[in-house]
Amino acid sequence: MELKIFTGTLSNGLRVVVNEDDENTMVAAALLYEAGSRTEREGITGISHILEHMMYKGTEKIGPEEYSKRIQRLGGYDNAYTSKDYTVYYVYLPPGTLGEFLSMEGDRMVNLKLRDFKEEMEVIKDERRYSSVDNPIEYFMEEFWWRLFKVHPYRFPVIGLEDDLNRIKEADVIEYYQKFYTPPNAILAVAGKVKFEEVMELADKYFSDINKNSKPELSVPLEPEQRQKVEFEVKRKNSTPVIAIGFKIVPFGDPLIPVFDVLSEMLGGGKWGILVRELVYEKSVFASLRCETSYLKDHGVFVLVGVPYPGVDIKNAESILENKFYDALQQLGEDDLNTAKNKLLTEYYFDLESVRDLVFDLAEFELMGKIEDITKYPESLKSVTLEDVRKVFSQYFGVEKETVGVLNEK
Amino acid sequence: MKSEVKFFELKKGIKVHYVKKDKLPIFYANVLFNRGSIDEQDKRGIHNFTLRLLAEGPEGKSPVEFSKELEKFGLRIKTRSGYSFTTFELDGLSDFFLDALIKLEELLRKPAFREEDFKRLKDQYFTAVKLGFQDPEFVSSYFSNMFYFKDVPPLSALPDFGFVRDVLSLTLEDVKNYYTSLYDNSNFSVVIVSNLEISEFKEKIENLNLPLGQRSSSRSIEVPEFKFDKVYIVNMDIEQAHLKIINPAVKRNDPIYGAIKVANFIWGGSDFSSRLMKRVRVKEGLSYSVNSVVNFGIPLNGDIIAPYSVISCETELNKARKAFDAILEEKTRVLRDGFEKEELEHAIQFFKGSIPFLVESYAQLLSMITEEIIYGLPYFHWEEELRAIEKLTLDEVNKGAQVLLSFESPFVLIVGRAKKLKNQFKDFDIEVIEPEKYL
Repeated sequence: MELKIFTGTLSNGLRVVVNEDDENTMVAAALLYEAGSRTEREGITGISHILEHMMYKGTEKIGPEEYSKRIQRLGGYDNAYTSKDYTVYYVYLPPGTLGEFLSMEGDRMVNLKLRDFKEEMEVIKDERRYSSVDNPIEYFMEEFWWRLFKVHPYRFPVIGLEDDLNRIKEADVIEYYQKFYTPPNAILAVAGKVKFEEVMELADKYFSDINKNSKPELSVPLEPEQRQKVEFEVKRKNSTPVIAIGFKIVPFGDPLIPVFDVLSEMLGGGKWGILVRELVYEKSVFASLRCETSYLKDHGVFVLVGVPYPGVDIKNAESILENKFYDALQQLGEDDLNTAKNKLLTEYYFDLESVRDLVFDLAEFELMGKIEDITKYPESLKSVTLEDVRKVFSQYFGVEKETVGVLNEK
Repeated sequence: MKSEVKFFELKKGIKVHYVKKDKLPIFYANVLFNRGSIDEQDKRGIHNFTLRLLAEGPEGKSPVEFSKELEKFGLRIKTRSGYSFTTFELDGLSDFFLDALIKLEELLRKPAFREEDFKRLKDQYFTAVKLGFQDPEFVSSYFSNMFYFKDVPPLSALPDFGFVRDVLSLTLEDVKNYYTSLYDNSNFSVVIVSNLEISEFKEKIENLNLPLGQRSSSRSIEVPEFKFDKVYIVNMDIEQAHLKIINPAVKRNDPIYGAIKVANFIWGGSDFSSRLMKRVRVKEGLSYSVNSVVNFGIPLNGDIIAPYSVISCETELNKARKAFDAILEEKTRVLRDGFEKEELEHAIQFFKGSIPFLVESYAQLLSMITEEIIYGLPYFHWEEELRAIEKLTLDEVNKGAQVLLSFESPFVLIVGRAKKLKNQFKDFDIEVIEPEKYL
């Protein structure tokens, strides 16, 4: 399958990436700002997410909460989210209506009016209680990231630390907005029934007069190489025990990503991945076990997450998992390699099914990788060998590189 | 670009609905039949548990071997239990569609139902229960369903979960016996969305050996009038209260269906444009999330039963009553003043504009046709629905709002710390539920 992808840049630095899909019935568009946990520091953690909320408070031209109303009037859907690396505002629209989205985004990139700050902060604190405090596993995973990174801001929870949410002032948010919401710090991605020229014309119309041309200077602390195992425990009332063992791996865009993907499948894929096969199905140590990989701008993260069977001692489960993990590769062969590759290849095609997902890939590849790599994944995957997998394993994994967390009942 | 649905019926009576879509070399298929959790006689959850055990693999293959055989081709087979329908969901690369059908056939004809898988699955179920019972959202759904439908036992358990005690008390014999009657009176349909030509799979489909049932089974369910006179509080040590207000609604085939759909969109189904969001979140800052949805009923024997609407709101524990009162005040305001013309125009513009989104992906087409089969609707039923919605007057939508919101004694359930909540709702009769007692 051929993806028609085009890129361009406005004179003020706004990057544009477009996937033309003539057969599609809709258009998906996303405006991404490089503002997330990575661009925060202690004292203002969560500020990117606060700004995401405040962006819906309108401008001189657009009243509070009117943004979504205008998108709905077109039949569209809009939303936004903040991640460790960026904040993204996205819409799904009927063809021919992209101008409304771009006009409002161009307006609020410069003319935001921060209204009802105090009230919105209460809503954000509600969201934090809802998504983190009352959710033991989310709470545990926040603690996990805090321990996995010693100095890098990836350790901050996207929603922010409680003290910071109480401390951040309206003026801090305005300063952050002025610094990070600029054309050179943004990427516009559009996919679906749309033409590149049309997108560039509209982008030019609504963004080219914006003179906030500075690209924020950042000094993101470098994470030192981990030389010692990190262990911690979180105790929560009535909590089901969970174990997480994590490693820092390669960042987004790295050519080794297909190798890590294959490794992750061979260890934790379906019911046949070697760890799942042995520890869930044969030895009944874990009720569920999975490998997760995520690739961020500065680092990737590989995590094994296991929920032990009722009655299994958690320390014992941890030790069995650790031992099996380092022993697993010796048991894997070509058959496992090919199964992993086929599964990943299938997933790749399914990911391209809807422009709803593709639009985020476009924005992420433009921000953190090379846009042409989107279509190269199947080829890169095919070339992965068992030798590659073993090499990567010996290079990136080891007891001293582990961060091990246990969620246990109080 | 409008897709075309092709229909053909196989010799054995299996109905096939097919859409050709060329964008990618993939397929999605649903094999569905009209049996579900309402067909359970007593132990709530046996239907779903049986399907989960079934999915562990056929005779002669361990779950690991079967899973590897599927994933070697990048195939997935999942089971989904509904109240009155069950679906086997298949997807993968088109080159392996026939392999997927063969694997499904093997699974359904010769399920292994091994003792060791049964025991492990029960342990896994119990772990999932423990995890679920620490998630306030799940707890809210589980107990809302249980107590809202307490007088309609076949509906009182979530179809994909059952009741914890019932599932944990199952024996392997129970499951095997249940499976022998699973396909009684079954009426199979197959929905396929793929880039394949019909000629590439028709022969295999024609010879598909599904375990068709012979006997007929009665599926009538008595649904009494719902009346509630208390507030249920599920005691959980959390910071946020999770509130649900549930009321009977109208069936999908009711003449007022379109008006209710639009009324709900304005009331609580349109995010920041909705009355609930504007009042509870924007104006009063009481909640991160507040919305309403309508379930237009469960299809059963050509009829539809038990439709209901749900208002959901999460708010700080101390503000639960304030949020509850704000919702009721807003409801009273709508009943008194009705919606505004601008709100109706906004809703109609939304429904009209959103058409391109309904059929963009393979998965959406599959889901739409499956829904049409289940509810006995014509293909692309939403076109007709939209034409009706476009003609709605403000008066008609306000009548819909009257039906949607004229509840005198709603079902109310709140998850949170009982001590704090009881004080706020002391003017109501309260029943406190301790979730652990249901484990």
